[in-house]
Amino acid sequence: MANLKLFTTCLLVLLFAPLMAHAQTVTGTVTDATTNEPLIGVNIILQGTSIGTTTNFDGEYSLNVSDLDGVLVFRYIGFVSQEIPIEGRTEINVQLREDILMSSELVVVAYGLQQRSLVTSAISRIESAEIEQSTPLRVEQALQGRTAGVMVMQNSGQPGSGATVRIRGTGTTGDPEPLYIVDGMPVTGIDFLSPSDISSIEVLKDASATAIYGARGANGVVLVTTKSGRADRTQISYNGSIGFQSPWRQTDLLDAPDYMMIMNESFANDNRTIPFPDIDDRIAEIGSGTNWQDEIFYYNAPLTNHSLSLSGGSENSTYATSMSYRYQDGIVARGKSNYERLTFRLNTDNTTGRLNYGSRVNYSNITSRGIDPNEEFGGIMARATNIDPVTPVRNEDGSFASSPFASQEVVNPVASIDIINSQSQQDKLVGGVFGRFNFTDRVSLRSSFDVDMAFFNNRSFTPIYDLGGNVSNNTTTAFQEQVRFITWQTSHVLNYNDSFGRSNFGAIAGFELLDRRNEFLGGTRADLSMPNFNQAWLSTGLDPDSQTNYGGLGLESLASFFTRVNYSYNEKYMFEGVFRMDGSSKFGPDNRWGYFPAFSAGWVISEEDFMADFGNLSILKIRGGWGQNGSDNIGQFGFTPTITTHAGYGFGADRTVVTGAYPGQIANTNLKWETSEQTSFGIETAFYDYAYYLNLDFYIKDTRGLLLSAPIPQFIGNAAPIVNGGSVRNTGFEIEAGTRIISGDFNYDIALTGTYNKNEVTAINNEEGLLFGAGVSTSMNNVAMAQVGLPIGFFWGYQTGGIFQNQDEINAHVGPDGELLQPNARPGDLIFVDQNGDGIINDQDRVKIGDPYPDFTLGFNFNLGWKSWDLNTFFYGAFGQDIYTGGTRRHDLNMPNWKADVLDRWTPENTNTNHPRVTINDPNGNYARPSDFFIEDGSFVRLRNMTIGYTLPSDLVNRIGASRLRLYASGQNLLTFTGYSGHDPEIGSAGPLNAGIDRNIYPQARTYIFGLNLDF
Amino acid sequence: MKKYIIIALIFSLPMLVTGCIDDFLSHDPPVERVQDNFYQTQSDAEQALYAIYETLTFSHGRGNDGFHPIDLVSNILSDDAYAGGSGSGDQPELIDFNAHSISVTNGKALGLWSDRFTGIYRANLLIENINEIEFANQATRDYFEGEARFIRAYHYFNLVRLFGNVPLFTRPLVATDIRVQQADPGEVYEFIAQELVEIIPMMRENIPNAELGRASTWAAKALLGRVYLYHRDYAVPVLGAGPLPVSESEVVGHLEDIVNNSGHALVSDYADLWGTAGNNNNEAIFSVQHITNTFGDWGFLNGSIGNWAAQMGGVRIVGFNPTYARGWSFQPVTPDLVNQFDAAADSRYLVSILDPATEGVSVNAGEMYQWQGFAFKKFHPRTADTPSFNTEFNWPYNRPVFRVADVMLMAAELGSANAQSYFDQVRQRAYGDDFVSIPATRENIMEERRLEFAAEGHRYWDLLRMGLDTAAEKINAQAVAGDISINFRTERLGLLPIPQTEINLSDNTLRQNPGY
Repeated sequence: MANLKLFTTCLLVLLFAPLMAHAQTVTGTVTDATTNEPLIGVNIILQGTSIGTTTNFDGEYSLNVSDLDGVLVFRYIGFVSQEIPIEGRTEINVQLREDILMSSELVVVAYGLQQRSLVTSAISRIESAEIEQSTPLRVEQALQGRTAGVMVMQNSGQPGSGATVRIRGTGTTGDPEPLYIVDGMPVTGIDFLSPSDISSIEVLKDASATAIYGARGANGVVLVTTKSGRADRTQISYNGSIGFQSPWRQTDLLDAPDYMMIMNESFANDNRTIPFPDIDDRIAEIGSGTNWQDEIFYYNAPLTNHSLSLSGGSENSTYATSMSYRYQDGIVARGKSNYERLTFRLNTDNTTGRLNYGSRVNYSNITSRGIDPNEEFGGIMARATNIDPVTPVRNEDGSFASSPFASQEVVNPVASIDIINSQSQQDKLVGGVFGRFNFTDRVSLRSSFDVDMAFFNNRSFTPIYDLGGNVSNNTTTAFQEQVRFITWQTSHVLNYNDSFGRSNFGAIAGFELLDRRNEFLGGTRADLSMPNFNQAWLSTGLDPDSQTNYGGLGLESLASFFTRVNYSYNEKYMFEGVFRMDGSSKFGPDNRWGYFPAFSAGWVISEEDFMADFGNLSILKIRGGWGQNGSDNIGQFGFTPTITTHAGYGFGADRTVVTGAYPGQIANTNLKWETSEQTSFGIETAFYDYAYYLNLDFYIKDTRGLLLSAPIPQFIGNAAPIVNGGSVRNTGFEIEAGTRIISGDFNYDIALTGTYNKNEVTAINNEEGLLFGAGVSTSMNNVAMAQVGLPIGFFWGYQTGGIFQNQDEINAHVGPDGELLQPNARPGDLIFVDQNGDGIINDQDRVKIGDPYPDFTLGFNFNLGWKSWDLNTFFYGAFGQDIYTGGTRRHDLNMPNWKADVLDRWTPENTNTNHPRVTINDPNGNYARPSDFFIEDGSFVRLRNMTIGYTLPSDLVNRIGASRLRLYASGQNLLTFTGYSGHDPEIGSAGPLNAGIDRNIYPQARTYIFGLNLDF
Repeated sequence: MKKYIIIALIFSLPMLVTGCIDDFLSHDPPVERVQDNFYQTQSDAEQALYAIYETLTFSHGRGNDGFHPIDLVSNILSDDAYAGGSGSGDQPELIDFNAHSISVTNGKALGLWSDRFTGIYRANLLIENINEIEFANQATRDYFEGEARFIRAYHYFNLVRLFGNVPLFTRPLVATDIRVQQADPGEVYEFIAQELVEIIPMMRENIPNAELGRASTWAAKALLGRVYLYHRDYAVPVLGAGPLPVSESEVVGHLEDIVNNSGHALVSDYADLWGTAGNNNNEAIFSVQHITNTFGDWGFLNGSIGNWAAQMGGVRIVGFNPTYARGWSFQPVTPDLVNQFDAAADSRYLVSILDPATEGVSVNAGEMYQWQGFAFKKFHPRTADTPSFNTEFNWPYNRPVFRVADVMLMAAELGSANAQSYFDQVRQRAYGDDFVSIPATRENIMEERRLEFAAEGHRYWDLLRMGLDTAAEKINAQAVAGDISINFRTERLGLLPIPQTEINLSDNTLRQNPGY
């Protein structure tokens, strides 16, 4: 009997032996596609079975399979999964690509981290890889187009120029800048941070996410997290690049022959002596004249960037340290417009027992020189646009030529550049220490102490000069200024996390104190003993009577208490509640504390049983929230009636100046923050294993209590108090969509972001129901306005109704009593519409003629990888915004140059045109009145970035001890599609009531960059 | 259990620390005093008084439209000057003043209104609080109060001349005081006269050298004379104002007192009255001080103390001229005024009028709107005086408000016994050896005033004193065929409109002026 069993067993073994003998083993190595590092712990499963394994410390795996026909699935957190058919191979090496789109299952939120699928607020995230693609100088440039709901417009093309960042629309007439938080510390300016240090940026857009920042969250919050070390690997990285920038185009201005012809026609139209009777001789002599844009542009202005980072650590201690250097020259005003930044950073994280602690320290030094980038009177671009092309740059003896037609500020721009001598320096130290003590698994306390110190050093030297016009100075002057900002903050947050059954519960309660002070000191002195920039210090001034000085102090403090509660059931139903109270020294004793609540909820529909059939649906989540937060940009002492003192009069034979004192303003002790209330709703979906995603968001944001001057009559005799008296509504829609495909050696991903925002002022509680905004040039007052029912900062001007073709038409354009509406008009002049039919053309006939804010903005990013090559293209477009151009030409002077579109002006032979006749006297005010003649569509699409990179083969690179070497070539602003005829369609704003006005803006550059990434 | 205690503690923390936190959040403004602790010492009174004086230099109003110094505006309203500038688009509201087609939304009218009320506010503040301040002695307290009330009266006088119907109040208003009614113009004149009568004994007769520019009792007397004359010749016939609390003989007495006892006298050479050397000369009884200073910039035009009429009235020099510096070519002189001078005999002609063609000064006529070939010279910017910084803001030429010549001619008009003697003295200084005496009739005095006070901003008011029809005739005659239109309408009584925004902001308590 035993023998039968033995026999059967042997038989079975023999029968099955072939199967077992034919059991195959597939082996291989799994590595990271970008760094070639082995990946540890990758899950490999034979599809459709439970047979699987994981990779070891060298990234190697070995899997026994029954046959070589199946499909292996490779999965690893943070990387894109791959399904690879075995197809008879016994060795399969796989490279996994980092999942840029969904790589973080964890998202940074205020005071913590949250699992992405459980987030109930509108938060957009940008990864460091996306930021590095475009090598931006400033963090704001990295935000442009990569997140929906965030509109970023560069303020100008000058190096170091800031950007106008608006999250979900402009919600205030004051300062609409969002709150920037770096590693938990609110910072006073973001330009100190080198983008190469950034690990991720989270933009908190809706009230439920930002309410926890209470009185500072109304304009949105940008959370920046810097890179820390990883315990499992030491990494040394170097990134370097050089680039060349040139203006992306020149504006079409008249050359000398056309200029002289137009000038002659202008004077002739006014029956005045023509200035160039000898025009043909002149043309023979000077040809096309001077191209002033060529003369002031710096072609191939250099740009260099170096950053070196080292990171690593052990299980209990990691560090990341980096240094970066960046130098960028500007494309205008060579030598006088540039930016240089040096940064140093050290981040450490340590664990001992129950305590995690660490530090973040950043030091930056920035030196910059600049010109006014958007100024219509004396800006360098304004001078180059307005000066006549007849004058040469220099005289025969080498000195700068002075134009005989120069007047006021329009003088030789090259000579103007020569006399500019100013410099700003900034030393900034931002850093802090933090510790997190885990009392138990569930309860922990995180405390931190952070400091933000900035020291500014500005100085300038004004030489003696006389450039003609009114541009002259007859004594050398030195100016020095020092400002010292110190902010410290301490934060203590208690965390509690628990789960029971399928419920997860989390709560935080926290307390923060912040104190900020700035001291400033400055002075000037004239008649310097050593008149040059390097030696222009106050002590060298010889004229004691010319000295001026000023100094002072600003202070503010903030104390806050906040709490947040999260609850989720089965990772399907989520709810969150937030409450914060902020007390600020700016609010005055009558209104010391502000209270800001918020709620949000979410439902992951795809987790429901009834959704099981939709196998390809990776996630379908809906979320919504409501919340309130505030803006505390209301000045430090607005609530108290202060006495202003300054020099006001003088007495005595020796003209001694005395100081007068008077109440500067009627006080409003009730002054408080602006309150913003937002309701938002969003849908997040992804398909095919997160290969495709689509997120939609919708919001309504109401801001109340906008600061404005109270409507009091001026016979009261003192400046009106500032009151909270206006409100604005922003409604909008955001879309974020994308896909990622891997197919053999190819992989590509596409990301699209789109934002639509509508802005409307809903109340202005002053007499006229109007807020007057910026004016332009000498006669166009209040081009920007705010009025109920219209967007903030809309353009306010006359509507034109074509051009008068003959005197009969002028005579027919009459008011209700038959009086001529435009008695001074001549054929060829603009027709202005008398909106209110009162027979007079005046301010009451001004209407909305344009809107400086885009209706929608789009970002389109496309990455393509093929073997060792990678290609990235990024387009950004803004549509629907208008630009007001009335300040670009000095109509108040006689001989300024024109843009080439003047060649289509109205003449008796050329009557079918929109451009009025040319005239110097301009009795009809064609060029002096703010009208829709000066409105142009500023929509544009730019190829912001295109990069081609090649990663050298790893064996080649390993020979020098490196793990990766990538070379790349990149172009920025390679293409711009726009109908705008001025220097640049990207105008930005100097404030909500001063937006979209082109005062001859410093244009953006087209840049070519060559660089390399080297990792060890 | 422990964790619940901890949580409870955390949540009660706010209550425990609220007390300390309030201290942490309360700051006093570090760089400024607060109104509650001001107006206590004599030094506070000085600073407050200087801030009142400062309003005399205001030319730019509070809001969106500047560039309206009162003397320049008065010149442009009269038959002495056109508006000027660089073109029809340069300060069109001044062109409207000259054309007497002033809209109710004219920003410069609002600025003129606002600047004066600012001065009145500051004066009211000091006067209200003056009893709490400790002065060195009673006499000091008296003249401080006198000077504040003098400037307040002077501002009210300019307001009532410009606008006719203005609100009158003697306490500082607060933000809720918007429904203030306009006073009857007669009431305002009475108030001014009464004030002056009361403060004349309070003010100083001698101003120490270091304080030149402070108002003296003589300034108050001179203002009383001017107010009386304007009231008699304009307010009574045109506005129907009632009598003043002072008689004509009393006023003449005051004016003669100035001539005899003040120590001020005619300066022998007319040219010595002007330029930096002429600042605070012996003939000037009271001048607005304009000084080069470093305060003020394009964002705060009223912060400067320079003479804006000088900057605005200068011609557009081409290149460099050793004598004259560049200005903005406003208030170009009418040929009518130029022709009234006897250029050969009258030494005032060359001092008052600049004729670039004759003097060989090269100007850019093409960029000088409404230029007729002549500019005012008294306050013309001069190269030698060019301020070393912020040129436009700092021309250091004082503006005389009262001169002995004016006092003499006013006394003559008011029927002083010395009328002929005063009249002769003024003319003698002007004509020198070519002097020929003419009778001191009202017509002759008026003509003489025009020549004596060219550019000083008196002509328009003198025209109105001659009667609305005369004023209309003379002003409208300046319209040059085609280019310059002027239409002075008598139904507007020569007044500016009440700014419409002020009417709106007063909740329509204020009423618009007739004819607008």
